[in-house]
Amino acid sequence: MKLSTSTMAVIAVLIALAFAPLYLGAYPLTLLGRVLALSIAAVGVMVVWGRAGILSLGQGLFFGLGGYALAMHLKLVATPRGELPDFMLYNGVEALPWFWAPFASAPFALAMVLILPAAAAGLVAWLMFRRRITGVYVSIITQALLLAFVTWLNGSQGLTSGTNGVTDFQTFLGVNLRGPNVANGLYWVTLLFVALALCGTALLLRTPFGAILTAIRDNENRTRFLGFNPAAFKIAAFMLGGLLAGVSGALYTLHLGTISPAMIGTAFSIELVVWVALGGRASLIGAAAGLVLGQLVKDRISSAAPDAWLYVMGSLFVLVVLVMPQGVAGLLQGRRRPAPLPTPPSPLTREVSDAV
Amino acid sequence: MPSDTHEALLDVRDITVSFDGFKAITNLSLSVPKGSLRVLIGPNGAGKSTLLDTIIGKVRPDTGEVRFDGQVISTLPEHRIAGLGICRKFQAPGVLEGLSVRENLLLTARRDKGVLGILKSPTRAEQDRADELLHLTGLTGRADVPAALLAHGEKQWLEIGMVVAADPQLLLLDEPTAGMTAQETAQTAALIHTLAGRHTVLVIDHDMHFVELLNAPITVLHQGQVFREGDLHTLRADPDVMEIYLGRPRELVAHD
Ligand SMILES: Nc1ncnc2c1ncn2[C@@H]1O[C@H](COP(=O)(O)OP(=O)(O)OP(=O)(O)O)[C@@H](O)[C@H]1O
Ligand SMILES: [Mg+2]
Repeated sequence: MKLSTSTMAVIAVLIALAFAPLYLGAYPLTLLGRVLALSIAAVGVMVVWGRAGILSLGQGLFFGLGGYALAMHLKLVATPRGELPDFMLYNGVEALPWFWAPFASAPFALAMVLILPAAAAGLVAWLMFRRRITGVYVSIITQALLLAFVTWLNGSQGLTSGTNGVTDFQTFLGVNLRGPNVANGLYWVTLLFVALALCGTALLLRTPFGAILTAIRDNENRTRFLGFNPAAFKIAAFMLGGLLAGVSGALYTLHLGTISPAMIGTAFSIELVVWVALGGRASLIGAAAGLVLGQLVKDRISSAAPDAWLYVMGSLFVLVVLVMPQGVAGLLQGRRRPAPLPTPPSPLTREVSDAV
Repeated sequence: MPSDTHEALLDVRDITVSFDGFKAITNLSLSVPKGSLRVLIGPNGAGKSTLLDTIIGKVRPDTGEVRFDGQVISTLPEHRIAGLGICRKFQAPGVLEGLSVRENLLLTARRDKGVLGILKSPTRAEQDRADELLHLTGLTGRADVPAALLAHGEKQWLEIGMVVAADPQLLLLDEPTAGMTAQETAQTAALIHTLAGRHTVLVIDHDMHFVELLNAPITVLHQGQVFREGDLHTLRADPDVMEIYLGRPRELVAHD
């Protein structure tokens, strides 16, 4: 079976990654951990965009919900009993807002890391797909919702700490986040989640559910007339994408020790899509690898020449759309298989032509 | 005429369909009795495909209604109409290319087509149904071949199998023999005869040889209206029918 070679390659890479703390220095390991956390969101983009053909430019919304859900808990834990989080005091807030209170409980907060993004994604998807909104309109709506969320976060200083974001965490589940061995532990936990996300999604996409998503992407009407309701499948896919983004956001918050509106905004959401496109949005591994490599390169370039970064990313995006709509993974696959099957038109080009 | 409508499985009542002011179908009525085989012919642009589009809910009539088994369906969403037991094979084959022949059939044979239902493993009955369909369409030997690798005729049969998989009461086939060889066409006619016992079937086709093989009552559509109804023999003798086929007059002429 040809699949097993690539499955084995993935397992080999995961094992190599598991031992990274033994051979990587402190900074590279931290960087790798962060990027792996982000790759979980990329897996979500692969499901939503690569398989279901929904180009969301607002994944930062769900990423942020997961991140803030955890951050609120961490902040409350770091706040002495009976007191208010520091930023609330600065902003003259006198009592803990109602929606903050339950986050003092770790199980509640952890549940919310999963529930909030998934439910928000489900609601957004339900509103869009029930009305059969497709193509660029989906991209615009998701982007607009993200913008609204970021604007609200920025404007609500007393509730969310505004542009500063939520910071100064100390412990999580009793573990001192500044302790000596935390870096390795967090890295392994992140890797575990990456492995879970990859395997779980791969298994799910191998069921008829995955086949129907592909069928919807390639021809939504046909699936409808075969008796499937595309909206329901798209909502499910979008919820999964939101859930993965949320988990990614929570892990990323732990890695950075902070979450702020700037981390989840438009630039973040578009970058996520660019990396997935580059790696190959139809391939799980391609999507995750594209993000990991892209972020590592970004770290290099943006520390050398911060201004150049945006141009590099923009050019990469154009390159991917024009030259290799299936990303690097698509190129590799094309080489393996001499006569590639005709690929469906890239949703991107299709959306652009729809809009004209 | 209205007296026998309760016998009809499909009852199209006085529908008008227009696209940006252009009337593709004008005051068309058509009723198809339960268990029958009906052939629909007519020159290009007569509105045949549009009629099927209207039945399955892809387009909505401006006026009039479509009834199925006595129930008005022209207001229901598409997947509900499909769920009632109306399935259509489109002109262009649309099998799920990434799946094998059997997987294609098994997927459409599923009773529960919801997100959660599809995640369960298929029941024994559904698997048996897939086997039955493989046999019916003559694709048993090709069960594990990816649908993308099938020959053109095989794809068409697979798609007929997929359409039949859900055991629809009404089967709508739009040009099922397009691009087929004479032998494949004959096999398709035989397949449709087998199906006609169990389902009500409405077939559109241009190939008069195929229509002859189907040997069923014919409705001629012209400019969005029912022009004539009858058997092939009578229609061939009808100068008006010959007239509307002018420009492609040989179509109605016997092949022998
Ligand atoms: N979506 C649409 N928008 C505009 N006009 C349409 C649309 N669909 C069909 N038409 C027009 O309606 C008329 C009937 O088309 P239809 O496809 O039903 O014909 P047909 O009988 O199936 O022809 P053929 O034998 O070529 O398949 C044609 O003039 C066609 O151009
Ligand atoms: Mg047609």
